[in-house]
Amino acid sequence: MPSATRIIDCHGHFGYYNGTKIIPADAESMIRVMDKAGVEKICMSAFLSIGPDCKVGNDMVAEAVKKYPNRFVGYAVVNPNRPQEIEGELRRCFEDLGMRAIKLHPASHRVSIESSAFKKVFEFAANKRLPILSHEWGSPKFLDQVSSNYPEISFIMAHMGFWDGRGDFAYAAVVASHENVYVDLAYSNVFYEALERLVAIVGPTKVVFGSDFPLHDPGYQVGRVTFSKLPAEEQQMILGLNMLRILGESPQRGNRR
Amino acid sequence: MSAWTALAGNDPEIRNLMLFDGNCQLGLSDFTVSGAPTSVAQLTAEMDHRGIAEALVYHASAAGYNPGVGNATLAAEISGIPRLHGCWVVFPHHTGEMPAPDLLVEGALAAGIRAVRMFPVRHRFLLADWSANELLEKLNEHRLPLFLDYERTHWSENVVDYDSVFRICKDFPALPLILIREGIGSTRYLYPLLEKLGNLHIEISYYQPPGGLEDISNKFGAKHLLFGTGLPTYEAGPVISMLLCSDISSEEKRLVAGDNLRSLLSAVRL
Repeated sequence: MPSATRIIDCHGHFGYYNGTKIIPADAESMIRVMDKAGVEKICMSAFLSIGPDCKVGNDMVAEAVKKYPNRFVGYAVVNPNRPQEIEGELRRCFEDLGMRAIKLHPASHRVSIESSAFKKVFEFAANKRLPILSHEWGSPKFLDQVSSNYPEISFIMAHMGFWDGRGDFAYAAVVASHENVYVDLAYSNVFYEALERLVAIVGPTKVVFGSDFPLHDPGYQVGRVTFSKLPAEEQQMILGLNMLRILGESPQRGNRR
Repeated sequence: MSAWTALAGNDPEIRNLMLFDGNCQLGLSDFTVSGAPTSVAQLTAEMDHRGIAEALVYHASAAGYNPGVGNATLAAEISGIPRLHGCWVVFPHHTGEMPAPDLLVEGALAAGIRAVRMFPVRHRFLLADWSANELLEKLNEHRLPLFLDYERTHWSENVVDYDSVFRICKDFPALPLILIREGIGSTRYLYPLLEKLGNLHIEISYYQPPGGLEDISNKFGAKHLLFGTGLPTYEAGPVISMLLCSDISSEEKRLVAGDNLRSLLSAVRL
């Protein structure tokens, strides 16, 4: 991998997934696959956390991050079905476990992102100026409101907002008008020139590379950017520089802000 | 290698793979976006840009309008373009919309066709023995590869009739059957089939489990995997990037990239 290019994956997971076979289910296997694809670092949450047990999943991620701090960034996950546990778990994750961002999966936990249970998450994140990656952000109106109410938070919209590159991108105005709203690319389908159309709508500074690894192959997902028709400097922003900025890290290797 | 270096089709590593796209469409479909490569000139330019040497193409109108019309259009459009190989869209003949199987296959071979494609969901037919066996028998007799397209739009969909896949491969062992656009949710369906069926192949344009190509190559053999893109609906870059980054031998990469498909097409009995 050329030294000028840093690939930071904003959307990864860890461990096993009930719905399919995960081959690189441990830290070392993941790093081997990441190295093949040129991915320097991945921000990840445990499948267990977005599934039945967020605490044990958070512990698993923290252990991997502790072992490989230059390769993994931990997302803390909380379950909105148990709102009384949210604040304590977030404190544990950020004060004891070394997490650096929050991942929400309202669909998996079957609670709307617009539910009041998430208010505690937003307040905690705003207080600590944390990024939040969410599987979905509800209606454009809700994302507009929440990103206005909490300008300290970087809001990352997973899976391109489930946009297939055709028709209107429902979140276009929200992403374009809020400095703190970003779009993550992790999506199994790579529709023809959808990335180029997304960048034309929201700009190259608002798009961050994500793969869903180890659900999806990082080599495949990196290829959606490296084989795109975007100029090299825009590819570099999307592949790594934008996420480094969100994480508060220097674009130069080895210089963490 | 790092995917970062794999930017364009003039990369020697990509050229050396001799990519042969087994899943490529010519013409306009219901959902083709502006700017997508749909004509022969646009498609071959896109192939050049991506470093794809050859492609097996079917015509969008054969799937989306009428197979007879689309197959004839295909022949006219790819005539004189040796890097584009025609693939007819077919279904069973009982309604009279298709020639009887012997005439259909005889006509296909005479037109230089070396593979066929079926859309069981879109064209609303079953692959049960009482529906499809006459046609399958003729395909088997000539070893004509059958690309089976259930038009999966997401990996979580259970759209494929795997029981029929098993039956066809078992009952017609000379017939190569290629499943189009299998995804990460397919492994628990595919592995028991691959254990038992030497004539089942997986087109990899959407097959992106990390380590998935390696796992299938090690357990069942790289002969089961065929490169494809899904152009012009989908981008070709991701699957090329995945193949380049995969941890299989360079010989296996060449097989998957194109030589497996070349072997299947050259094994067709005329």
